[in-house]
Amino acid sequence: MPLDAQRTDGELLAAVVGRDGAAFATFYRRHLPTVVGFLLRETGDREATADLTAEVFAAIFLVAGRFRPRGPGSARPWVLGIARNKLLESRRRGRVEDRARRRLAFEPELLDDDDLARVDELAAAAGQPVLALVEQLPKNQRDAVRSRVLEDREYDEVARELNCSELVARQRVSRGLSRLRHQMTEGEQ
Amino acid sequence: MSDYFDRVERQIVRQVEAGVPRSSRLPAALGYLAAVAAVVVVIVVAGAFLLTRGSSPGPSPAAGHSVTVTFTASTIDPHAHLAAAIDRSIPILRARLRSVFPDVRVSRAGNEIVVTAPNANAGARARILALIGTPEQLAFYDWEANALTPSGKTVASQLQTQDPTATEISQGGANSSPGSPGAGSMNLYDAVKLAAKQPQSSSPDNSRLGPEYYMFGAPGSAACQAAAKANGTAPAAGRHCLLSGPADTKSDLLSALPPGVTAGDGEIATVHRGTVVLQAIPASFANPTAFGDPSAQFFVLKDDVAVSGSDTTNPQQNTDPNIGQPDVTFGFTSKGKSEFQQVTANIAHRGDLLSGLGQTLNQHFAVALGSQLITVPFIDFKQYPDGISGDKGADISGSFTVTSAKDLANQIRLDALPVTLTARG
Repeated sequence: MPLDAQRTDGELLAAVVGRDGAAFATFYRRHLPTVVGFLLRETGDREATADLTAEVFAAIFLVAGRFRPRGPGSARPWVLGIARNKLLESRRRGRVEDRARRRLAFEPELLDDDDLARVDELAAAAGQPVLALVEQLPKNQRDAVRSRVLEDREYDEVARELNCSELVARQRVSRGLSRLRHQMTEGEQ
Repeated sequence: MSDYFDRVERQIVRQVEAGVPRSSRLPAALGYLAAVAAVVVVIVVAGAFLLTRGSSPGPSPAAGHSVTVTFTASTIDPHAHLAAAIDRSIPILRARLRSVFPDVRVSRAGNEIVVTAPNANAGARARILALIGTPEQLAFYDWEANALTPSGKTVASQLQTQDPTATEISQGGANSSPGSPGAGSMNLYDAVKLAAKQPQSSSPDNSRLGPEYYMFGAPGSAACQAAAKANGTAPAAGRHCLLSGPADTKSDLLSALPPGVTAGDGEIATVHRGTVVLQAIPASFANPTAFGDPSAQFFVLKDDVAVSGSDTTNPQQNTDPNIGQPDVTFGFTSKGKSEFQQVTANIAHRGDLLSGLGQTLNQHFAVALGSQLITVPFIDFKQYPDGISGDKGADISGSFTVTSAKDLANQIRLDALPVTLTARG
């Protein structure tokens, strides 16, 4: 495992094409929270999220050979692209896509309450990177976003804490959120 | 731990270690249905096949493999009996599909319809979905008002400037009549590129409600070689090749790529709603050029349909009394009569106007079925200065055999399915 965990996404997917099951497992665990987080945010439905997640990873296996790494970076945008396509296709058809799983003759997996709780856990884990992005904001925006969004303070409180006018506090929060949104969208494309 | 996500992981890991399944391998349930289909199949009599809209040249037995698509059926009329509706649908589907898949098998399995195309090429599934999901619609266009020159302007707008290409598309070439190969037509790549430049334009008169996608390989590319291999043909030197399409969605487009070809191996073109690419009239309807054949020729039109197939009635194969050749006759609904009169009047008026410049430039209307031009007849503005009444219906004559004329009549008549179909998988 240590060796697999150090491999890039590109190396793992190349190994998957070569029938390396452990490489797939590593890739799966690496990206599972991201996929679950994205799908839960989009669907708001834990069962659909679990179902679609299985479909996304089945599809990833089937198209692993098509992944073209751009440098040593993450396959996250590629993974999220597949997730988005599966989501859109499901919406278009009015039911959860299952083409990849059918092609793999997948056995249906039943969900219980613990599984649904696990969806929440994974999605929460996926949210952690946002905090890391907040930390990368310029100081005045970071402090404003922390105070307003994470600590849920009113704007007049934020302004007092940051020693600025309420208008400036609003601008800093707005600009900070805008930058975060841009960074997150960029990561998903 | 053994939660849902662990079980999913284990299932996929097992598959990873077993290797990617072949695309032709069917899940167990589908395989069973295909076997049932093989038993109850009705052999389609091969004859003259009217329309060949395949995304590639005719399937080669050596290159092809069997493709099966299963559809879940439900009745459009909630009071109708599903089994009977499915039974009525099967010959309609067979007629619709056999223009592209001569050996297609269509059968019922409970509340489902199973379509099996033996010896099919890589794009077969997408073509089956396109043919079944989007019935071939008969459409009448004002030819010069909709046909585009390579500049993207309509032929009608360019005739007054005596643009040579516009004149050729309108009046035909030295050896070709309007709408035929050579009369200002272009190859598929050039036609799609021109069509893709046109902005989206939505109107109730569009024959297509969404975009249409194509993917082409560069001349001499490995992708073109792979496509040619999949189709059992030789790659055409120096030309872009059609890798996949036309498809209604990008996912359908990409799922129909030839083996070994990926999305990054070609150029995807999107033809927006409001523009259509129509294949030129075949020299013979009994032996048409395949849609994806490198020699096939096309025209690009604004998709402003003057009379749609739903406003025609009682299509049937008949005989043109003037020349004794097979033709197709049909009537119009009251709305269709009015529209036909209107469009032919517009065409006649334009012919009169343009001919005032010292030459006779009769103008035309075009009849298309799906993406295939059927005929582009002219309106003699001197004989019909106010258009042609639709009261007596109309006829389509051309290079028909009796069989191909019957096929066209059937295609028009059988547009409507009594069921809605949803592809599984």
